[in-house]
Amino acid sequence: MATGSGAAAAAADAEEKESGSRMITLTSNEGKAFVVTEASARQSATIRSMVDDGGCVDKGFPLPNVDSKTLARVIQYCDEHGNKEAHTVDERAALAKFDKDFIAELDADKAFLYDVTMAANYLHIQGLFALTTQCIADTIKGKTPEEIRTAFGIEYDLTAQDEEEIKEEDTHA
Amino acid sequence: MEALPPVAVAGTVLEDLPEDALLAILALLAPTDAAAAACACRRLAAAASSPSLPLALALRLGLPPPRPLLPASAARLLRSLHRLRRLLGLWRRLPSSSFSGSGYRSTSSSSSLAAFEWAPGGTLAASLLAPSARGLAVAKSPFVTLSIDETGETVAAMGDVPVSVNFVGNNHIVVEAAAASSGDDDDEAAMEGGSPPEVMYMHFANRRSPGAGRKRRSKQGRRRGRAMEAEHFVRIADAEPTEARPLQGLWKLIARLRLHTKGIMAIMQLTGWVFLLAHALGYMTCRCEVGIACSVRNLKLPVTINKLCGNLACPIRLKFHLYKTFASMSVFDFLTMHLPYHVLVRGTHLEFIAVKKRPSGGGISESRTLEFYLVTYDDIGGITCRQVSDTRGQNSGFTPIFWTTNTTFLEQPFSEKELDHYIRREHIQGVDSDHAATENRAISRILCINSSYDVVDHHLSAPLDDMRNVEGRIWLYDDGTFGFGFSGSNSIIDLKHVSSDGCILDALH
Repeated sequence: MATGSGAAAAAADAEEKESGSRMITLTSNEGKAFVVTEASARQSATIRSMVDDGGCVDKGFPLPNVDSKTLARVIQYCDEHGNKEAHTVDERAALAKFDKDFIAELDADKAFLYDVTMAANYLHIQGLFALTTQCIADTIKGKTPEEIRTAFGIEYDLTAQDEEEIKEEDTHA
Repeated sequence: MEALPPVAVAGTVLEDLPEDALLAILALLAPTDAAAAACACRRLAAAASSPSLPLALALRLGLPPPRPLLPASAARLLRSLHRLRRLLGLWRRLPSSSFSGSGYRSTSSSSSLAAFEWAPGGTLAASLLAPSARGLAVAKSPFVTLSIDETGETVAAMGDVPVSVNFVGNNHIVVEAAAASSGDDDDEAAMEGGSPPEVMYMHFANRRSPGAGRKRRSKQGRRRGRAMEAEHFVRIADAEPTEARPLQGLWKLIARLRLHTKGIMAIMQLTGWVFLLAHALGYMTCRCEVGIACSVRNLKLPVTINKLCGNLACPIRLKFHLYKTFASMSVFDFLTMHLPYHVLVRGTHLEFIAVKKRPSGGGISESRTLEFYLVTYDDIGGITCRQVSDTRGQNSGFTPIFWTTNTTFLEQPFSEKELDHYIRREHIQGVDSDHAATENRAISRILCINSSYDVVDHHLSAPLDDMRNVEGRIWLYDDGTFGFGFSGSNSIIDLKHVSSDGCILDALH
């Protein structure tokens, strides 16, 4: 029995080592297939847990909540973070630079930024989610409610009563 | 895979984000910004008042999830979490207004730095940082622990004694004995929430005006006996260097000799005393063995510094040779009364030995040698380096070391003159640091400093006319640390980081 479980562990170990070279197919809601390395796909906690649970790696993963354009961008992030090493100072600096450029580009297209945020939230890609939410938070910082509405193109939907309630809460807090 | 509503292909708006994402965004914001966001639209308003927001904030701060609370206390919990978050980091203690000791429940040390860090169990632990006897290590002693109680309120304690930690403005806190009854201390309590400048100034005004401050203190004193004196701290906003500001931050160094005002002033003071005495007793000149070859009119201080630099970190002995013998005990008694030195009679000369435990700030040498320096960039592009020293001394607090208004670095390749300037110098460093590594470390950039302590300090009685003393260099190494030296000396003072990513390096508990 003991030897049996030992062998199983060894097999799992070997599989783990091999997993770096395995390829995984992700399919967008438009049916477009994206083939990525397992290391890249493992950036997503959602996919990682499915792979680890012995899920249907060969069949690929359909992602009904993510469109092709968003998925392509998400994969760009996962490839950079999953496939590259980040041990040395230089490697970390390169990754930080990638993140900076990546988010700057997204920030220019707010609707796309929200799509990527939602995809990161849905796929549980912690780093990407932190990056996009931080970007949105940075946009809010130091602004008045009116300026926030302008920055995000939000329509004013609060009634006078709502505002009264919010103010009430603020004074309590 | 759980079924989620499909994402709109185009025209997604902020309101479309799921609550998780909105909570994560709000958790990244300061309370004022979050409040502004809440006024922007319904969706954000709903998220901002969600009882899950404290959980999102705790998650973001890396804290264990708070115990489930009644929705009513969620707002309080949120406020407490924000309070703890604002306290995180390094703080500099302001010199206390009275340090006589009577009735002062001392917080154990005169250390001038405090670090607030997350501790197990979602608490925030503040410790006082002090130089340790072991090289570059920083001794950490427990100060105040803050936690959040079951009602969502912040509680602070120093050991078992409850204390209160209140913000006075964003970058200033007061740690004092917890209010026994709310009636008497409502001025502090009123300030803690917001931070309008008037309140802050009012507080300073009250603190400095002797009437108001004392009255309150004595009142408290009567009520509780030995009351703890309020301790004031200001935030060290930029404690670590950034790419754009490579010199910024809090640094530490092993000093063999204090090469700044205090030390020089002490030597001058001492020399002055000897000359006064010698003069009064009918001697015109005297000579000091370690190199103060001087007469009353001509004090060659650079010589002093240069010679003393070679000494190790031990009490520095200055021997003043008097040209005629005298042995009046009253003279020595007089000296020992007024100077922090032992005066020994050795044949025909006097020997002054710095007292190991100095009673106050000024001194030539001392037993502990680790020092903290804070380098800040100002709004107009200059750099100031100050020493953060004991809070109990006369020159306590924040002694300027150098400043420069020109922050343009000399880049590689450096001129031969610059390299020679560097190579000829000796590094001053800790006994336990890797000597070879320091010697072989490469310089990445050089900065010229054009003004030093003596320009800043008005108390220095004899201005140094020698320009070599105010000019200096900062050598930025490729490992991110730097060293500095003045033209009048032959040494390089190397500095090390105190913290990295918010963690205190080389900490000893």
